[in-house]
Amino acid sequence: MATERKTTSYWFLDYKKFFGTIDHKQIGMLYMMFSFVNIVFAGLLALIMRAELYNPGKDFVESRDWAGYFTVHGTVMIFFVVMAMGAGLGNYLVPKMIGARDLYWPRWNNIAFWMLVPASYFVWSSMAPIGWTAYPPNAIVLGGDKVDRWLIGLILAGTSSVIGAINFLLTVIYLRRPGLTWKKLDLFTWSIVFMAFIQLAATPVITIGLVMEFLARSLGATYFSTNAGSSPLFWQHVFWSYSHPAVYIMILPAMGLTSLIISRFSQTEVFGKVSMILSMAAITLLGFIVWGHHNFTASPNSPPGWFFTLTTFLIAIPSGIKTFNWLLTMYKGKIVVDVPFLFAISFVLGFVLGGVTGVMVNTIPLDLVFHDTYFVVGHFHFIIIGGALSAVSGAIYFIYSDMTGRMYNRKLAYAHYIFWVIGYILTFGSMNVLGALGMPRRYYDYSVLSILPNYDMIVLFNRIATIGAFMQGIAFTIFVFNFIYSAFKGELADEKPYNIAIPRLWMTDEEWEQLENMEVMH
Amino acid sequence: MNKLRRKSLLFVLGFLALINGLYSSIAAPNDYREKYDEIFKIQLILSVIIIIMVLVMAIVLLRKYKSNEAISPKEIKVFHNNKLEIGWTLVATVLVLYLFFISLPPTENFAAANNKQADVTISVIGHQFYWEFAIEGVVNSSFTSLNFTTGEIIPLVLFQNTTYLLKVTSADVIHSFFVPELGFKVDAVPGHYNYVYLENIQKGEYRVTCAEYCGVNHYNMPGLIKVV
Ligand SMILES: [Cu+2]
Ligand SMILES: [Cu+2]
Repeated sequence: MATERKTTSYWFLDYKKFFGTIDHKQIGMLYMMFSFVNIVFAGLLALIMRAELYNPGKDFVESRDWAGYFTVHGTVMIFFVVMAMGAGLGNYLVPKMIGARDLYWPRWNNIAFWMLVPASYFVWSSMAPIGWTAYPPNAIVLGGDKVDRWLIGLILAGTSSVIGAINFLLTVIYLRRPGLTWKKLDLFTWSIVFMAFIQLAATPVITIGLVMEFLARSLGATYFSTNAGSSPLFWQHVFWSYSHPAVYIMILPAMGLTSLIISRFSQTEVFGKVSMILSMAAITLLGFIVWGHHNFTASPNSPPGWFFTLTTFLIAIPSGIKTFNWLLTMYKGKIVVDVPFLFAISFVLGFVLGGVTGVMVNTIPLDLVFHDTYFVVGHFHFIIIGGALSAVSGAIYFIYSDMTGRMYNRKLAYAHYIFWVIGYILTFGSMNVLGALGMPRRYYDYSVLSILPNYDMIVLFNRIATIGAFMQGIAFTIFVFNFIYSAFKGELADEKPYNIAIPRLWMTDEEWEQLENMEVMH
Repeated sequence: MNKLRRKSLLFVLGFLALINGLYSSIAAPNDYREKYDEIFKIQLILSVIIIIMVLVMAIVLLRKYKSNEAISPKEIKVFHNNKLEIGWTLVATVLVLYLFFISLPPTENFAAANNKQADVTISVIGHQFYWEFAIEGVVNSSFTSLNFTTGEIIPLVLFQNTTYLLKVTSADVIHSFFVPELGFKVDAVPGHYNYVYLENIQKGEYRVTCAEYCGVNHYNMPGLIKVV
């Protein structure tokens, strides 16, 4: 059995390996590092915006820069932080969990990762004032090359994501160790399969849309303009028929990680594994036919608004099933309450808070008020930050000793946890209240809302949201410090590397040994 | 322990009563807002119950099964309980369908605006960065929400016992005509008309803001509806 500890290797300091590596673990780590760099700067943008909103009125940001900030913050967080984390952890874990030596196409894996770097360069350097939704006519009539840079960046990111998706699917289909049937496959690998399926099916749609916007800007194509018999609303359907499934690209791996962590640390099997897989399948498929819930106020008089309400409500069912299954996984277990476990619980909390607010915003009589307000912002940040990023943080602590050969500092990790959970509840909870009070999103100054009856409350909750955001900033600073510091100075992980570092719950000891001695074929 | 339980139960009930009270004390000025308040109240109470249930389950299970001993993979147990799983699937389905069906009548009502006959049709046109109102069929009735020289907000005056159809569109990019106190918003899309039917609004002043990002002054597009 391969239990002897490797000493820490700083492979990434060798530039040939850094750029040329085709090893899935190293590429996984590159994805994670890339994602860390992006989250630091996109997080700074968020803090700048929250600082500006602490007081009503204009403080230190210019209105013309504001839109660039929220566009880049949103785009980077989605494509270069959360999705990159999903790809990174998938890279790192999937081959191990299915007993493969690497992904199916190691070289393409390297290329897919390195495409993200120019992609993020284009997005960062664009500072396009369009929002991550890039609605025409605004995104088309704007002059300069800002929007074009943003479009090119996203086309590259989409291409990378498709290559990654094909690679994951081929890997799971062809490289599973003998005897590992689909039924035995663990829930994290399943989540990556569903994620890859969505990426493969949905990304081409947005890529075509982005190219259409690009042509509309550069060559005057009229795909989204009224006088050519089309409508700017057409873009919204193209955009959301990708971007709603994209939410599941971000959340599915986090669900898989949560299943993995909760069952490992409770030392039980996941409760209701089959229903967990079916739930993910249901979420994946329903996810393709709910996009219209973003468009109700855009064309309220054209049916069928209720159709999308119904399909979206149905997603609440598998989501609820999953939540209770995660909780019951603890039943009769022997729960080791450690850092990754706590983060998995934080995922469940964020997911539930984002879930109930999601049901609200999907109800059309409520959506008439909540749409395009801070309520929506609070809702999806609960899912993505409270949910997905919590699970990802937990997973990084989970595999930390395996990645670095060293242990992170537990006290710092607990401090990270406390600041993180309190921070996100304060920020995104306040945002929900702000939306219900009538504060629209993407406002750089809300003093104009002083005409509203609850203005005092609007100011108060903006302040609480800002305080929470800075708590999350502190939490993340601790995380990054702990991550880097411990990689060099942390104590060496002992003989039993964090006793449960690499999951092999579904294997018997004999099977595991067999695998260790087996040549894996490509 | 029992005391603590009773206390937390009281706390929860108190909180739910507070939500209930909060939403019954304010009379809604029109039917859209009334439906909003009604449905929001139901969903808020359900949500609080769900969140508390999840937290209680997590805490109880954690306290009960906390342990520090590692066990070998062979000892790992698998639990199944099909009845339980089918049970909560059914409960979730019923709950979700209930929420869907109570939202359906107000949804249809709002959507059917373009089929309704109103006394007066007002066209609302979004501009970067102000609103323009005009009464359809009346020459020279057009005015803007903003007095460009003084910066004052010019109200759109409506009569309580008249019915109105707002015909919302835009002259440039997409805006969104948002009246939080009246419980609706509707996007102003160039080349496209969206209709809102208004009737029987309580006398008072209701504020308008823009809710769809439309450029540098998106945050500063106020308007006012005055019902007399
Ligand atoms: Cu959606
Ligand atoms: Cu606007």
